Amino acid sequence: MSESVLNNQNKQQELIIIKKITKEYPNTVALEDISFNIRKGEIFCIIGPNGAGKSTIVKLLTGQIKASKGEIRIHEFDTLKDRKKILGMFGLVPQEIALYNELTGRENLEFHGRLFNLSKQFMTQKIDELLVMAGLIDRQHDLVKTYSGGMKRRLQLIRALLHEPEIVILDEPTLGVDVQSRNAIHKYILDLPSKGKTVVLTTNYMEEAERLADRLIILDTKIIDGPGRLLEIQEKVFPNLIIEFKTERAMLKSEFLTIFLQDELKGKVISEKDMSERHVILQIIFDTTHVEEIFEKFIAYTKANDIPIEEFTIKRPDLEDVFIKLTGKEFRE
Amino acid sequence: MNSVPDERKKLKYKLKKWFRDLSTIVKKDLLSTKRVKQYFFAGVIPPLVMLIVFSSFTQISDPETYTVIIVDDDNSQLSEIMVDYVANISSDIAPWFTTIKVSTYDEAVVLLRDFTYLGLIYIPSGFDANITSGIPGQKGMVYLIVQNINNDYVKNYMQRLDEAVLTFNEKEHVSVGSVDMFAVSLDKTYVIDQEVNNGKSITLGIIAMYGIICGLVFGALNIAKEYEDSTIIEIANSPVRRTAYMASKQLISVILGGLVILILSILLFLLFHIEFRGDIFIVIISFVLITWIHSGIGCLIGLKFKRTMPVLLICIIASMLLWFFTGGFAPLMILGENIMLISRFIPATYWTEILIAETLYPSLPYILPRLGILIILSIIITLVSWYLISKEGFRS
Repeated sequence: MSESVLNNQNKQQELIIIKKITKEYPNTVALEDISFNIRKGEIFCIIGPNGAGKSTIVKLLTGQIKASKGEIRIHEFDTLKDRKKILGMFGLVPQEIALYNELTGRENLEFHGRLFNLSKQFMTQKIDELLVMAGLIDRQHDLVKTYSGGMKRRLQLIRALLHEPEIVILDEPTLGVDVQSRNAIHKYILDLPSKGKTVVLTTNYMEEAERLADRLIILDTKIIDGPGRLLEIQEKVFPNLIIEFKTERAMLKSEFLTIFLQDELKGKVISEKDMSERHVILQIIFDTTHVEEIFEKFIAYTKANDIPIEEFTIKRPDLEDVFIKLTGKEFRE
Repeated sequence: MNSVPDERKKLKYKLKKWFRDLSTIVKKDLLSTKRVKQYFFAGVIPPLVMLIVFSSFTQISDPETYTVIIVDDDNSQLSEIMVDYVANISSDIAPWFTTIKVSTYDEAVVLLRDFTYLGLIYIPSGFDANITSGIPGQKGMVYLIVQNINNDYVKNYMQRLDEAVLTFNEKEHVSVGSVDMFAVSLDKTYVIDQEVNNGKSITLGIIAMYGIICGLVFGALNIAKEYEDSTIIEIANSPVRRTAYMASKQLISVILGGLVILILSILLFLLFHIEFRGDIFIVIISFVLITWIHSGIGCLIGLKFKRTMPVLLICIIASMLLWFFTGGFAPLMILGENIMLISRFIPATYWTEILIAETLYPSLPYILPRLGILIILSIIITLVSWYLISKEGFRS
């Protein structure tokens, strides 16, 4: 398929277009010249530290605030001028717990449904279905103030899905929740594209972005990198590969292996960890991203020389490393 | 060709949606309030405490200055002497009473109905002629019409006035032939012919003030709480009509305020035996209007400050100020012309006047214009507050 045909297809799939957005507050610039597009059916992740402007993007996307410059369109609609038209298109899961504590879980959902003008029959059926999905059916008649943090987060997530929006916007949806709830929430999010939803997710958890994102941007007031697939960004920022394996110490004494790794494969041993009297774990970094080539040569050499290899893994620098390299600062500063 | 029916359908849909939004938020707020018991105590206990404190305070307070109108239609030598007598008792014996002369009876009645003055002493034409006619039983009449602010000081004043008439009869007696005649009689009319509890006027003031507070506080707190709990995000990202949201918060304030005032009135009756007089329908209408107006202002305060504690403080201070400028602390006439002028621009002035008039001096020609002003002000304030929320939205 030609590049122009592919570009054309991508354009057709573009659901949200963010064009040269700047948001200024008195004495501070929250966002500077941001442009990116979000495609239909993908999980798009906006990652950045606190104060990077992630929530500002969410507010701009949902038309809650006005950009100082630039425009945002969902389909052909301007998020600000045509706000009434876009309100039913998205479901928002805010960063804060925005539930009515004096209402039960079900009453919170019913209130949302009535605001979105859903019919009673549809609403009842959908609420039952969502409560089962979130594992809250047994607690539906309890006041929300008695729920745990994770349960509240799950309730917020299903509330955003109640009116069947096309886009689900999640602003740090797992902030402060336990691992169990986080896993459950991740499972729902991963399931959303199969239901035809487009997901926009902001997070400052690297592992969350690594686990969920189809494409992402790294944000720190400006776009530091992206949009792109995590792998693309990793390869661009760290064009390196790390392999790690366990072998017998005796193999190193002959120096054949290290000579091969350094001279033939152009790798560099970065760590050597003793595991026992006989075994050692080696970590070698390569200035290439061609995994297959390295892998094939390495396996061929070890087989030919009867070198025992166990626990072989190929690693890339994680998102946190990418962020530190790009911004020169720790992620959670 | 179909555009007109289509427009009608759209309008019908919009109206239906507007009322659905309104009822959804009202139901939700009522349910939340029902489940938080402290709302009830917070609503009823402060006015009761205020009532007890203020009632105790007024028992030992110094008298205020009252002014009595004098109209002398006779303009004779004897009527002038009579006027001197009543003027003197006001200034010497009870210095808190002053008199003012007005040229016509009609003008005086208008002033009396406006509650500008305490009472009217009227000497009709023929006063001199009747005294000096020599016909047995024919007397000169002095008419006294008194508002029913009949506390102990006013009662004392009435006794002094009786004494003044007696003194006149003794000193300025008229001899017809060889017989000395007691020629003047005092005719007293009370606007309300029953004794009024001392605490009644202050109680009315508290109810009036609580009408203002209910509107401001409930309106402001309702919105500030939504910001504090972040639930405003849910509202802001839903297709709820901004005006319907505002109206629902105002309606909630009226319902809760009405409930508090009702409970308060029942408690007042049971504890202090204070009965309600006047037209309940007019009082309810004016209460709804005044709470509606103030809840509109309260909602704007809530939208601006977004936190419950600052909002509560602002509303209480604002209520105190409004109460001051509407004569809650002291009658407006003794606070000076400037404050009287300012009070005319404050809706609560008309609510207080209607409430006092309905209880003390029910008169439709007096009440209806004030009710009309309240309706106009409520429309203006509603339009302004709805315009502001439509323009500003719920942006943080």
